[in-house]
Amino acid sequence: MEVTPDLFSSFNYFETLFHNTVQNMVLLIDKEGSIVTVNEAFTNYFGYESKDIVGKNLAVLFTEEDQKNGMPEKELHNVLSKGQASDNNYLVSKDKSITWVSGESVLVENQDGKVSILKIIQNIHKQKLSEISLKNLNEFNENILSSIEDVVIVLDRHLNIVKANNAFSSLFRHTGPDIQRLNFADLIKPYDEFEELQSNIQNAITSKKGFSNSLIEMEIISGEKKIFDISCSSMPETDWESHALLVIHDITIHKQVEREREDVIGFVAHELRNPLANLVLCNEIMGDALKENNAEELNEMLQRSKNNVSRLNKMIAELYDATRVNSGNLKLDITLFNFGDMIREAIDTVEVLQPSYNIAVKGDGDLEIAGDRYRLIQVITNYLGNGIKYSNGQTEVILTISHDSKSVSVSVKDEGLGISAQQLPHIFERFFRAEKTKNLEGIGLGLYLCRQIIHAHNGKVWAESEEGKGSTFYFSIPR
Amino acid sequence: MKKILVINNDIDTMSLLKNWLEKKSYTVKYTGNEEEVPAIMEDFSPHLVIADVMQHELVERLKKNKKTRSIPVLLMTGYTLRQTINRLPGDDIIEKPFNLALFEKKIERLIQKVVTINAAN
Repeated sequence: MEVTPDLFSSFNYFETLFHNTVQNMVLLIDKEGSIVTVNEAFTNYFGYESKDIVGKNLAVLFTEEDQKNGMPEKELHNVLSKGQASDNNYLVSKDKSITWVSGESVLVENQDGKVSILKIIQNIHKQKLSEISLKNLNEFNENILSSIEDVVIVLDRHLNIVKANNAFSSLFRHTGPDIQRLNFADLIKPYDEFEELQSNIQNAITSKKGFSNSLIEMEIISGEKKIFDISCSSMPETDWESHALLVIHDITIHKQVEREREDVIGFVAHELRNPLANLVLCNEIMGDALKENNAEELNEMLQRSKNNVSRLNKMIAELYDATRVNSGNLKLDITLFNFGDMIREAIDTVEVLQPSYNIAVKGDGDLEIAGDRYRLIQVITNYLGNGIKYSNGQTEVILTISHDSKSVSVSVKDEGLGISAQQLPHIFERFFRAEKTKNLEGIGLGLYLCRQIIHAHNGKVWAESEEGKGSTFYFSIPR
Repeated sequence: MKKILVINNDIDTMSLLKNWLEKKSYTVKYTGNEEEVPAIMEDFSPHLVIADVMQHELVERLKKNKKTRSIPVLLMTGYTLRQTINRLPGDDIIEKPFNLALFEKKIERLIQKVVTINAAN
């Protein structure tokens, strides 16, 4: 090959380039991959002396992993077969530290026709690191976004969706790159009756003032209706564009709890107003009786008025008790006592209030029990009171005590109305009252309270009943 | 004499209402048993039914039945939430505890109305 004078004269230029560059590291490698020579920029950076490296295979510069993957051979093969190769990879310094480099190899031939490889490498470690950290940062941000359960959406000033997180697809029927063509105002149109939300977002973008606690009810993919709290903030301008960040938070469960609480309060108010209404009527009739000098009626009304006052009082006490039990504040006052004596006291209490009923006791209660005596009396008076309430004219209620080495059980049996099979599983629930017996007294918390008290004793409650024949209520607690 | 049927689950309320309404010269019957209601409606044929809001399902049935739907129903309620009241099937509503003057006016007005309608027929 004839060397042109031009190239010949520029040899000095190349030589200068080879020796004096600081940024570009140059290696000359033979066809077999042995390093022939390296420039100062290379030795300076990688810490090798020329003698350390000249004559060695270029593989020594590669990481162990790259060596295993045959990277040095591939590079050699590429440049030998194609005349040129470029690649980015790690190179290992003498002190074993690694540097990310961009390398370009070309095939060169000298006057004697000897073919060598000229490899020029550039240190791009800093760029690589910032590239990696940028990638990590992006991934990190994406991970944050996708692990947020709330729906997060970025909108442009036309309310087109710029970005949305994974949760978005659980709310709206769109996924993937699809969502970038959607307009948020269109999506919410069916639920945003007066376009209030839409204009609020628009205002937030123009005025750069966000909003929060905007409620909207939407039907999600599953067909369920859910209530969401939407907050919107204006994002810092990028590329002269204003963006809004929306966070859509599902508050259905909180709303349900709120509604349930309202229902309970409504129900309780309704129940409390019954005896109050009776008192209003009593007073009115008493006024008339007074005018008519009707002492008999006056007396009767006075008695009924007293009954309604005590009924009100009982309801309030029950309610207060149940609130405490429900919030988990039922603290038992455990003492050791004679079970039979406790039963006797409970029966005495009931008999004072309901003298016309006969309570028969069966079984042996003469045993010591550790428990909350007052609370257990409450359960038994409740059971007996129920038996009497359901008694439907029958005047006998049977209380049976039985025990073995592990537990003691009490049953209260009446021959009254009975409870239907549909209602029986629910009788220990809060605010439950069998339809027919809604009259009389209580607020539907009595049996619920019993259950909570017995559960606190690690015991259990249950009931058996046959409509028209009567019911039996049970509890058992460990000894 | 105008006849009123009181349907409630509170025996005390029912008997007190009977006492009070009889003083206002109404004839009053009451029941706490919903199953008895159709027969009583037939035999007693009241000019007005007073029922508790808890019996709204029964009232709905009365309002769907050709024979009984023209009989006015006054509902008693201890609830004050307006939204529950809007959906109720009665002709008017009285809140517990009663304002008796208002209660009496409502009874009079409902009975008056049905008399006018019946006269027009």
